[in-house]
Amino acid sequence: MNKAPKKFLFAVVMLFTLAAIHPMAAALSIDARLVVITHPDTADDSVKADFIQNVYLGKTSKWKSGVKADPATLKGGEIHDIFLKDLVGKSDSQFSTFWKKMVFTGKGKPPKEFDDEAAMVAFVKSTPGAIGYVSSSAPVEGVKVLKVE
Amino acid sequence: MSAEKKCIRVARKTIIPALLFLGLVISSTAALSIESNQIDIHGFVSQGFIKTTANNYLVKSQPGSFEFNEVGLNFSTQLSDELRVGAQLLSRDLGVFGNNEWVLDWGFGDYRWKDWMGFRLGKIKMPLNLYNEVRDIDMVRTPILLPQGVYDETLRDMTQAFSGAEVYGSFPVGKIGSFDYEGYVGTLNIPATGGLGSYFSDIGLYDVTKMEVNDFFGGKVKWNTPVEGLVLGLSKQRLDTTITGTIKPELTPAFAQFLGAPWMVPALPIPGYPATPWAPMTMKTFFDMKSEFEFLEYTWKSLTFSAEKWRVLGHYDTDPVIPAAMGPSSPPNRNGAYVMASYRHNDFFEWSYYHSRFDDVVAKALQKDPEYYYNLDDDCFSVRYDAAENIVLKAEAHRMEGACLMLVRDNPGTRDNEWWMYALKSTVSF
Repeated sequence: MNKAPKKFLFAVVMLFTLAAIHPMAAALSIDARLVVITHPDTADDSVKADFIQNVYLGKTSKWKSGVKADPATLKGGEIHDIFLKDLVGKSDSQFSTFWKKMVFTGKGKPPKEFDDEAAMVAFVKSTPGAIGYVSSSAPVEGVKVLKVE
Repeated sequence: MSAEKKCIRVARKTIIPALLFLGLVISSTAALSIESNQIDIHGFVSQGFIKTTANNYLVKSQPGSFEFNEVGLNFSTQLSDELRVGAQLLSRDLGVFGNNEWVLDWGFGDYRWKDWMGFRLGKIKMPLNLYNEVRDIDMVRTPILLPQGVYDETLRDMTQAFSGAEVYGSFPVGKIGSFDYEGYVGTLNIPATGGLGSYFSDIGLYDVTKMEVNDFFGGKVKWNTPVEGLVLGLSKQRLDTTITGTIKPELTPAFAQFLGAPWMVPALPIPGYPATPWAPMTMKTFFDMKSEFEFLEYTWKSLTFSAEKWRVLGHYDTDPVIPAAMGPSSPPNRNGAYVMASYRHNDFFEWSYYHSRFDDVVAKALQKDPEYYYNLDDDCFSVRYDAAENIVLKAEAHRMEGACLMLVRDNPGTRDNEWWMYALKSTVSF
């Protein structure tokens, strides 16, 4: 085997060992200023943080029930930044760049964007399978608030 | 290859995938109507300028050149929860390449059966490493030019996109993280006068007249590690080609000495060739290329660090056989690497630095030119300004050492070893 792949594989094994012995991953945690919401008919009352990340990065397209997961984002603002940092693991510019890459290679469609929290709630309330986020002080009548594990 | 085997190969690569795709479309949903408001349309326009202090690199860069632009327009729609179709048209110009001819950049159907397995059929961007699939998309990175040690623009004929089928998916592996994978098979349409053909012509043995792809397949795996922000990956690809060309007239006598064949026959002047007393001689190169990439990307807050290594290996044979006196028959091939760091300073500014290295072992073995003709070291500093949500302006400077990756047609004379390159670029996207 060529030397370079051997060195690469060695580095991968060492990294794996290191991660197993000393877990360095900072678990995704949700800020108390933020709530994650979904359509009231969604079967799940709680979701893992990984699920939210995968939905917003296009790696997961369905809920466990098989219903299509339809993610929504705000166009900007503090709550948007907190959501992306805590639950998607990206900044606003990194998230935007990620979806531009997906769009211009034909490999995905970005989440729908909304100007404000009221529009976000209205969309989630009327769209089966939708998932979104608002501030914890926002009115959330007609949607389900998900617990994030 | 027999006509029967050729027929089976064509069927495997084209008819069978097409039938599979048709089956997926029919079975996925009962209603496949498309309304105009369900079609997503996106696009971009980029215009750049390149200037060098010496040598002509990528374009006629010494006097400065605006032959550096890309225009892209894509359409896509979701036909069902699982099925998406789309296509992107691309017009680009980079010196002698592209010349703003519109081509199908990609166009495929994408059936996402499960999170861990989906299928794509059509013309698909090649999944090789971190940035190959988005190399024409200026607004998704900081530098104007990707590190040429790994993203050689002159070889994009064999790295840009393929026609065929792809299987892909993503799956978690508990505390280890998750893996994204892509496996593909298909073919490429490599023009004889493109970058790859020019490379073989520039080696000085023959003028390429035809490039045929015999076998083409590969795979890429990306490990989203449990270390937050750290991604590792590797890919491998096999490209088996037959390259046909006409031996340079000035070399024909040298070949004839070793072949001992009655080749020197009086001939009438051949259009396009200098007057010679002998007929042009055809050469075929059977090149079974294997490309390997390893890559790493680490993102921590506003800092992104990336590194990649690449090599092309493979055995090649020629017909007629290259005489030993003219150089070894199957040396190791080409390799390159880079390390890069980029930092998002605020909503408006982002900067990056990379060091890139490229070595052309194939051409070096033929020992035609000074040693610095066979490598290229590039230190690049770039600044990006996001003037608005969809408007990007960039500027960068490259300190170069070496004179590889240049076309003979742009550099017929002596090349300088140490030189600078400057580039500007603006992009509007929607």
